[in-house]
Amino acid sequence: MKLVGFVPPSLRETIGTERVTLGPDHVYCPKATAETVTRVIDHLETKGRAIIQSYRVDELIDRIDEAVRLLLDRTSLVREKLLRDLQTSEYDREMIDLHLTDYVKQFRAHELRTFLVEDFGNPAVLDTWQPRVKGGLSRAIAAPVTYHSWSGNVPGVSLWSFVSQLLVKGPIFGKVATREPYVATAFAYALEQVDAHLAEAIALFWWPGESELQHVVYERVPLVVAYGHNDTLARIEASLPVTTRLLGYGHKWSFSVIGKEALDAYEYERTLHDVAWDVVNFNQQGCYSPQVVFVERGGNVSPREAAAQLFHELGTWEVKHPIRPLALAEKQRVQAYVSSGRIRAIQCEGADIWCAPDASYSVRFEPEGAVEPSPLHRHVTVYPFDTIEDVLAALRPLRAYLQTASVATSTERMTDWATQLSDVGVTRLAAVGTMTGTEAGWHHDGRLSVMDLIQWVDIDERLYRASERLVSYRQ
Amino acid sequence: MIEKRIEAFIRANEEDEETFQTLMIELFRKQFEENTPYRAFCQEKRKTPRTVKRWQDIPFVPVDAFKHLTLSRVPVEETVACFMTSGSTSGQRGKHYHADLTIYDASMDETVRRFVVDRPMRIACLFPRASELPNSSLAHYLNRIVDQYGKEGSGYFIDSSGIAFDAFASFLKEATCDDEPVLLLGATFSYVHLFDHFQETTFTLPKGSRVFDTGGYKGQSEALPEATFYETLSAQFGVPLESCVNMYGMSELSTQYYDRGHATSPAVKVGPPWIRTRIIDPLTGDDLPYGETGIIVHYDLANTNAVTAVMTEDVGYAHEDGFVLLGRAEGAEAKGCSLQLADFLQVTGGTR
Repeated sequence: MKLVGFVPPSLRETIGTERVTLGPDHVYCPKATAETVTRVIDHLETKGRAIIQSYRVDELIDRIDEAVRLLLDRTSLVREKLLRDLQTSEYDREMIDLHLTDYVKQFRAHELRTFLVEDFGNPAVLDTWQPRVKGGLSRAIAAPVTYHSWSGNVPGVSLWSFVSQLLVKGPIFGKVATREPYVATAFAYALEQVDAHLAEAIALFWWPGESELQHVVYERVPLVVAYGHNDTLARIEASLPVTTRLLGYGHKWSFSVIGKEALDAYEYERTLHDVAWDVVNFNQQGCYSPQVVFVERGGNVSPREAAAQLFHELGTWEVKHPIRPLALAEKQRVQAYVSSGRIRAIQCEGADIWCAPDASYSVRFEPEGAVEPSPLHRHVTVYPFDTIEDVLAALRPLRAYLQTASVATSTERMTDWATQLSDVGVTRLAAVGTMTGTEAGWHHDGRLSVMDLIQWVDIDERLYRASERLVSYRQ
Repeated sequence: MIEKRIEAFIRANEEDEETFQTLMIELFRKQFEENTPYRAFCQEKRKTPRTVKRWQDIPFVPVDAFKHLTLSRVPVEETVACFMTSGSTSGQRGKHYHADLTIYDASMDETVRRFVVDRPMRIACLFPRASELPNSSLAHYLNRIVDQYGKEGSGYFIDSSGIAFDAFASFLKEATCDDEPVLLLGATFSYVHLFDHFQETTFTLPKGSRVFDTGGYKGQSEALPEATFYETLSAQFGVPLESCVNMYGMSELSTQYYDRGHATSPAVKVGPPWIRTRIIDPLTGDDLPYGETGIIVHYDLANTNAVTAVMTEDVGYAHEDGFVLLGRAEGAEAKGCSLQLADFLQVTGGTR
């Protein structure tokens, strides 16, 4: 029996569960009605908030760390159940197992302290009034309740904002993603196991995208964090009162840039092996997954040879992490991409395509012609370039969607390219092989991770002075 | 000459798997040898006359190939006809060159006689003349039917300004008066325009009348569900559902499929002995288990100049008598957070 969602422990008896179908799974989730949702929000705003605010930040870090350890521990029931629940995901078991560990490691105590110091400098602002350099005092407060709407099928994406929300001592009302509701659920239960008191500040529900219940929430919360397609984000924004803030994370486009230094006889195999991993992990479905690879001319290995090698490396990864069968429409899209590649190879002298016999992965080489998107699911095109300008020209129209660029080149050129790439809109520069593994405190789509979730409150220096004149022990 | 033997096979109009197999393989060999882009395509897939022994193994090209490659055994300047696709989505049009139209005409003669009309009738054609649309295979096809079977009183009821509703209404009324069964020929979307125009005004056509439609909507008018369309057609013209025949064809092929009327829906498409269909997995190219939904691939012996094997973008499943056409595959929305194709194209102004 799969359980999805989470109700604060003290409300559990009065809020039942209902059976719903999420994709291939039948699951039980909290009964979602206007009444139950309202009651939960009332509870989070009052009791939940009082409880979570009574913790100091470093105490919260410790609790989260303990819950995370349950997810890291290969012998824990929490992890075992989670992996079982994720079996119906399209990603193979080993990929999930590896990913879960790598990913969840980022939420250990040390990493959490890093996020907070990164963003706040002095995380104690979350606990009490802290003196400011300019004078006066400031405090950072989370909203009484924040709504997080998660989407997509990449496991664990929800943890980022979930943990960030707890760190700023704000109760969370989350709507789990239809295609991957399990990681957030598992984490909530792990936290309850560590500290049931703290769990009173957490609620996770599920409802279908078009449900009217989201509007019940929008009326009550001052802050919404939402993931999804830009159209979805636009719809949400249109539904929010002007006083409610929206932090939206839409779909993104990422890519790789391989410099000639990475293509010498010693380096090229490893470089392309790593690029292939970026393509294979999550079958290119993450916002940080590369859709195309730009390869510089002039190295020991030509861009065309690099494309052939990349194809070979995709094959190697495929043995370890075979891809599951796609839906018919996805297959058709891949087929159109591969056919296009074959036709281009006939029409254009330099164009080429290498394709696995069952088309489970492919690499196209396109020396001329505009940049085309990938159909995903491990199909990628290599575009050769002479100067970084060529790459920038192709990227400019996509400014609003650019996110991660992996770069393989010398330090000097890397910083130079990083400057130019960031000017066209890239928000993260990563090493090849690490595109899908983000670092602690990364700025998702260029935004601050935890700072966005709070409001600053300032006590004016003059108020402090004025109050000093009225103390009982004044002279 | 292989063309002569293919023509004879078509005119014989009999099921004969062995002869079909032989002719397809021979034709494939000719296309491999004489059609350079196709040869390159086959070689990339490691399919050559040495390895291709059955028609099922003949490498199929996607319909898109007709847009980007010149698929013709005979130099283009020497061909007599170029039928072009309607270029509905991307703007670019596929080109199917015919060295001559003997086989195309032989093929349609046999199938029309069997599925559409077999005696002279009064015919109303709701499609322009071939002289106005020289690159339209459908215009050629419909015009030929009118030429061969049209009795006095037949006519064309569409011109550059649209459908001649009044003249068409007169035609129907006269036929009713004379108790002369009629044959209506038109594109599916033309009938939708007729529904909109005539609304509650219905006709009761004489017994033996038939209504023929083809082409689907091509984004021209509001799509009606198939069953509703045929019910409306039957009601509007007073013609029983079994006499409403649909033809499924495409510029990339030379042969057409038909259903046997719409008493049941969805209708099964049936073809003559010189065309075959496979329902496949588009990635592996393998046949799907019988009855499963997949991509439709056609193998047309009458495609003598271009390529016999064509993969469509249509989805369907196999049936005892032929296949059932479901339409386009439903778009798979992105499941992750990586930018989708449609959004990318919107931003870059690209086309597919």
